[in-house]
Amino acid sequence: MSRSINAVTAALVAWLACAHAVAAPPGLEEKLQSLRAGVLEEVAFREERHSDVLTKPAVFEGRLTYDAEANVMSKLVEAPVPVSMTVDERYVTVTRDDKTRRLKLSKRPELRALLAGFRGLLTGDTDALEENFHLEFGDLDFGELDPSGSDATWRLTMTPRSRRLKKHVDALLVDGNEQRVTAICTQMTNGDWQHMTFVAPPDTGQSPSD
Amino acid sequence: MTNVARLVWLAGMLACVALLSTTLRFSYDLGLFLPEPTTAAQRVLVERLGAAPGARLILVALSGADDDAVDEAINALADTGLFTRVLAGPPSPGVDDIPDVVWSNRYLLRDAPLDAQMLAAALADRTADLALFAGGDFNRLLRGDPTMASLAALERLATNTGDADRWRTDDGTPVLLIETAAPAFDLAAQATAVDELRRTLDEAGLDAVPSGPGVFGVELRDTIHAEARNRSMLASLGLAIVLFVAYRRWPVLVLAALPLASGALAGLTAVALAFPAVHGITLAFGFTLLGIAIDYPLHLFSHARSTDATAAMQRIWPTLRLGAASTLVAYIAIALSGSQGAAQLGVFTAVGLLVAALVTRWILPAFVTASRPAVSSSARPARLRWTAVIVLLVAGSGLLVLAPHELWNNRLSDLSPVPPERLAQDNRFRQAVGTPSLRHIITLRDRDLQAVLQATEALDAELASARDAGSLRNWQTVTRLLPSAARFEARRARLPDDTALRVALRTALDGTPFAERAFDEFVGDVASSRSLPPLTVESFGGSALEPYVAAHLYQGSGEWVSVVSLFDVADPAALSAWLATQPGRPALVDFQAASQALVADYRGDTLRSLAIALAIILALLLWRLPVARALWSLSTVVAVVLTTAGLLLVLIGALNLYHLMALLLVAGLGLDYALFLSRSDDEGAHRADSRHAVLACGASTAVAFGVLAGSSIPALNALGTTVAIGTLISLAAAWWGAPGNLPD
Repeated sequence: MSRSINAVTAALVAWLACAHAVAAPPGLEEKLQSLRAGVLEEVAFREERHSDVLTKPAVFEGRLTYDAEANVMSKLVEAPVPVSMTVDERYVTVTRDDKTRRLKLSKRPELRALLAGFRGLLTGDTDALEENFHLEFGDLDFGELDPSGSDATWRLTMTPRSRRLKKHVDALLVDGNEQRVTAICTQMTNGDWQHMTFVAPPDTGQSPSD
Repeated sequence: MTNVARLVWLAGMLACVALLSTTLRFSYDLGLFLPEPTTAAQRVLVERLGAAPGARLILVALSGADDDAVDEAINALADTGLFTRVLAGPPSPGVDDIPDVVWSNRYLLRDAPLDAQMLAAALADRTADLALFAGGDFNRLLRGDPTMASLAALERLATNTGDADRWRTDDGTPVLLIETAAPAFDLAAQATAVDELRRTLDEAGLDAVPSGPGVFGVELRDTIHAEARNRSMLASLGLAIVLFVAYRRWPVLVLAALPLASGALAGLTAVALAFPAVHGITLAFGFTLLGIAIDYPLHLFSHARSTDATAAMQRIWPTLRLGAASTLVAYIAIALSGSQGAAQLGVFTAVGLLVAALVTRWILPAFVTASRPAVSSSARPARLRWTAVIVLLVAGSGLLVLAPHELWNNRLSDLSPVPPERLAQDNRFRQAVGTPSLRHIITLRDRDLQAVLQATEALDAELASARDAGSLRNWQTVTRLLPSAARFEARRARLPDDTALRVALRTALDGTPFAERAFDEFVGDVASSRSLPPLTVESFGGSALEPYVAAHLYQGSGEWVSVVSLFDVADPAALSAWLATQPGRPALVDFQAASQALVADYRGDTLRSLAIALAIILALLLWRLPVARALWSLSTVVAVVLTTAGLLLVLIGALNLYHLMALLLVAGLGLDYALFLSRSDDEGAHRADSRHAVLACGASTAVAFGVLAGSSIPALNALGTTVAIGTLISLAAAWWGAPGNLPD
């Protein structure tokens, strides 16, 4: 099994090399460039997890951080249990109660997919996004009927390209308003889904609850 | 008569070729060459040669490679399909890596009871996991194994407790651990794997230094092939020049090889028929010892210079026969000295020698024609002088006594043709990776498998106190995967029934977001675990864990042997003393000490056999020769061997088994020279012919083995140096001790 994982990793590396051949959908380039200008080093999140192993949706709150220099992302969950996950290029490091576990990223393809998506969004790197996902970009106009109550005006639908990623993840729906990502919905192949909403820090002058 | 002999010879050779083409099989099991083990530690050594836990591991240092390059290399290597493991650091087992046998027995591989308390702790951990992980794999593991018993079982097999996620040598060079799919003894498959390994890493632009038994084996084979080819071509060329100078006729070159080739063919056939497989060392040592047969035709050629070959043969045959018979006695002694390897060597050389002598006697004379008219010579019969013998005896003994070395080198590793710096490097890589000690293991033995497993379980529990005392860092036992039936049944009996498990589960679920229905599979699997039969060795057959079980449990000498592999043994003496206080007779095996004792035993056996052979040879000589000539010949040989050994000791240090084999050949050659030069019925032209023959023999042997002495392979080097020096001393001793006038 681990051999097939490694094969996928090798394939990803190969794609990196020929990514330039892929053209981004119209409008996306500019959107991502503007997103990049608005990249935050830290953002608070609220995540709902929906799964049939749960009695009701589980809710987690915390912060996401991104160190562009080191290309390190962290998910710091503060409630209901403090636990954190730091993702660098190769490893996922999970810390709970001062105990650290380290997993190879190649063994967690769903994390790899997420990570590639996040990084592409955060760095405005269309190529990086295109390597891993089919992209569909469009305006959202819910009008009065916006079900999530968010102020999203556009949606980027990302569907994994690789067989291995597709096995776990159906799609990532990235919603945004102007140059700000407001929510990411991850749809898993087993029917589970997670909805993560972001709360902009006060000094941006904007807030989804406006 | 000649025709009959030729027919018999031809038919015999053809039969040998036919037999060899169907029965010849080679083996490289060094165990064959070790004597019957006498201690428990030696027994383990012989039983486990080549099957050590790490024998299939290749360690590769990638100097100057960054993490990305290392990862690319790992993927490329994994894609070849030739390796079962390619790791850059301690493995962190994932859901995909759980073998079926571990998954189905996961609740029976640990002692902790499945109660509400344990389940509550596990579900709290899973809640935290839920904050970070999602998807099919997470749910699959949660549903089937919420306590992660399967991963815990695999983690108990990991021993590297360090925090480092990548293995590095002291100087920071990344080290890869690679396990070949091919077994260590399958040299051809190992060669394919090593070639592919080198090619892949080369293509990735990496500066790779692979190391390990398989790599050494392949390199060795290549070096030996190249060296053997080059050296034997050079030696043959040297031999051809000497022979041409001595006889001035080309056919001699072919004829000289005839007895040796026939002998080798016959000897090989005899070994192939008598033993299941011919050992590589049999061939190497065998051809060396058989080298004496090249002298037989030379005696004939020299004596046939002046007379008819048949007449010459009749004249020299008694001496030739006596020399060959004496050598035969020594070689048979080797055959009886202990191990199967020695028996092979004895059979090969004895049969080879016999056939070579017979071919020289019955086939060769018909092909040899007189090269020049008889010359008159005033050479007188030999007068035997004892001065040379006495001087050499004194000199040789003096060297042996005064040399600043031990006489014998007992290190088995010094017989290894792998250069010491490569072995040191291998050791450095192994330390970086933390592979189990190759020197120390603990063994527990019993005829009854269950008794062995129970003793191992008891020891596994107690070893923590030895670790706390600082004797060792870690250990691995077979019972971590394969519990005794008693323990297995005890765990099975302790599994809660459905109702109790449901109650415990509901208690544990309180306060978690998980739904009870998610754990139906878990409850069902625990229920089916209650009727699983105890695990057996066969349960692991074909799984990724088969090598682990095979490395830690085997059958030897009708007993089951459980091997506890050890990591960083800091204080073997304390550990050994502590083990003596433990039940189940656990023994600390020190492979190095055991192998040294074995080598010493082997040499002791061989020397004892040779002492007996010496007595028989003396009796043989006394029976066939006048007392003075017999004593002179034999003491010349003893003096030559002592002097050669003494010189070697001073020049290169302690002697090993290769030197011993070479000294044996020196003794055989020396005896022939002494016998021919001391022939009392030789005078005139015959006397000159004998001296010519001995000179040709000595020169050809010294040249051929001198070429081997230049080899970089320790075995060839030792054989070459010893025989070349010994031949020259033999020649000098015999010449000086049995002077006669040179031919006109």
